[in-house]
Amino acid sequence: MQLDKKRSIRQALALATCGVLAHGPLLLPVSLQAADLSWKADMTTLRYAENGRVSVSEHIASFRREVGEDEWVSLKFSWDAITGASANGAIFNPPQSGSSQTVTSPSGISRTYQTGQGQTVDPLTTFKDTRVAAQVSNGQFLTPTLKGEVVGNLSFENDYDSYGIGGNLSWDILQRMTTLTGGLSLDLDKVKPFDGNPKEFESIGTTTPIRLGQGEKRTIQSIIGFSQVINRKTLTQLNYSLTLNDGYLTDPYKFITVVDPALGAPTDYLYEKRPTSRVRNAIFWNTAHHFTEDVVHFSYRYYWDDWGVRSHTSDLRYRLMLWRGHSLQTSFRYYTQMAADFYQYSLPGQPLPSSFASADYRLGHLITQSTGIKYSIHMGQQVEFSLRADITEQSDADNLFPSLGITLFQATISISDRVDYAQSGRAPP
Amino acid sequence: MKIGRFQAMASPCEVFIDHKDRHLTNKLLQLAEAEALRIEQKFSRYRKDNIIFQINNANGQPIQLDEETANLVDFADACYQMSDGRFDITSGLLRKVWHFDGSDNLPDPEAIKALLPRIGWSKVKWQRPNLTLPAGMEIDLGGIGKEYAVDKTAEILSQYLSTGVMINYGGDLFALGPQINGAPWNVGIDDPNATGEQVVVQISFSKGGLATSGDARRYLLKEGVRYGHILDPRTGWPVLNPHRSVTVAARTCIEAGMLATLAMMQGSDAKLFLEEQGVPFWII
Repeated sequence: MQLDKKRSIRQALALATCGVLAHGPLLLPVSLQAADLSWKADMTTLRYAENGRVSVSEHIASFRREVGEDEWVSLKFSWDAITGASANGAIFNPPQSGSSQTVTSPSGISRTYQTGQGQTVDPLTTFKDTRVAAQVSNGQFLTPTLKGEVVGNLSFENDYDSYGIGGNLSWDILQRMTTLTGGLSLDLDKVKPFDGNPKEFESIGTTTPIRLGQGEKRTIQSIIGFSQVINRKTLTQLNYSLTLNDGYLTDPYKFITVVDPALGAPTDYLYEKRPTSRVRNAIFWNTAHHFTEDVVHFSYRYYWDDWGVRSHTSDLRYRLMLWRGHSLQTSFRYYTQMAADFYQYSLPGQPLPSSFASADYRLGHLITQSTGIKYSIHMGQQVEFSLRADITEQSDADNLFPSLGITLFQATISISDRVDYAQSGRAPP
Repeated sequence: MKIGRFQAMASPCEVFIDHKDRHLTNKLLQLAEAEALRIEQKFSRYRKDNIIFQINNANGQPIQLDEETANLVDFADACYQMSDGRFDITSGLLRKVWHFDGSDNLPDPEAIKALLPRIGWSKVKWQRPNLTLPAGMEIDLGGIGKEYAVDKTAEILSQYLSTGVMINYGGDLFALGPQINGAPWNVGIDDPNATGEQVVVQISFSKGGLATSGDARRYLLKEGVRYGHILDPRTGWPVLNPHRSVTVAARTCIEAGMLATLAMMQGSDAKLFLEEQGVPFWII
């Protein structure tokens, strides 16, 4: 009740002001109303290329518009074209060369392999896929300090669909120096290779393969966190997220090589098998400090899950303000990962593993280093253009998989109807 | 960028015009100064040739107000209602007993009590366009005059330019769009502990009004208690625990100024009050 009365003061004042300043072109209430509903549009195109492997072209368009004084809607569409080859888990550099076989197909088309003594399988699978995705969200200030948002998203590939809904809240407290955040999202994914998912641990060369139909994967993600204004120039943020996966978590395109310990040669290739649940945790800490003009960000993330994967990510960014409206950001990222408990580069033949096994290098011992630069130009107050380039080196700490060089180029243009001073409710740096 | 500086309403005034045409710029600076002086002349309580003097010396007789004055009185009336009497244009009489000279000379509580019957907008008969002030009472539009002058000047200049204009009359501001290069205007908030010497916060803003209400410059100190110059017309005494400085951004300068004033009146609850209003603000 108190809130309604107090809040009405601002409106009563706006109304009373119209009586005083009614004649000026400045204060026509109708046009002000329209101008107050700001909007922003972003268009991004990016190209991600792994050296000799997968390349992705992605185009993203997003649009956000206020639909009321304290409410907004945003839409985002993205379209990705993915081509190239990805490591399928078969071992690289088989000790004995044989007739290797490469199979090229769009993902989702069944492929056949021949396996057996003397037969080796190319460790790379070539594929091609297109993904389209859409996201819609609606957010509003429920009270002047409590912001809520609901998000829905869909994405489709030839062999993978995903549907998700989520919501998050952020609450400014302690004179808006502290913000508490919480979020929850639910996703349902369908894994649907063209001819169904393979039977786990079945040989990929089986002439009459058993196919299991579609797989379903459910994800519940929750996140809690807070951000704190340390002083006028420093902001720090800490989050914890808990993600529960359940269902078909195996990758239907990954194999594991059976190597005869006596011969040291591959004798068979089996489809991998992963657990049907995964509990993932991450703690993320980020601090940003504004110097007179420049900005530095440092973040650290620690991740762990019940598959035994542990990872550390450190990220340092420095944004250097050049001359009027131009800035250059450099970034360095270092990532290390400990492998999942069931990660195995190859299997030693009989007996088959009783539980789980995967040779997916992404579950292995990884070290990734990235260096990037981003150049941004403000053209007036309404348009920002930026170019970004990142170079990443991903290597296998066990030295079993070859290192991978990855390049990323991105161009973004952002247009908004105006930069609104009212968006900074707290003292700017 | 051309900056015009002049003195009006007992304050230093500045008008920034970011435009290449010197002829137009000079003309606009003249228009701005003329408008500021017109409003000062019309609404100053120190003059004997204006409507305020007539009202305050009508001896209980009704005075018919012109359109502009009636609009301002309507606005003041609305502010009185919405603030439950905290903003009151009849409270100026309290100046007779409160002298904010930095000393420890508190007024005699009996003298304050004696003034209260002559204070209170509810005792005034206002039927637009006729205002009847009981004899012995006074009105003072000083609490909204500067902000009003800023908005009126902006109104006039907006007929010529839609951007690149910043008006600052004694710390009450209006920006009519950003600078020509698109950069926002940078405004510093005066440090209450070193007033006129340094700023504590830099604000960037491009459009709308910005006003600061402060307790920094004038106060009395008695046995460790600061008596700020923000007086509550309902009691005749200063608001307890006011903030040193409250700056508010709003659509217009007059709204920003009123929100800043009403926030100061809330004492230590100013933050809560402004959060509830959902406006950008800076409290020091």
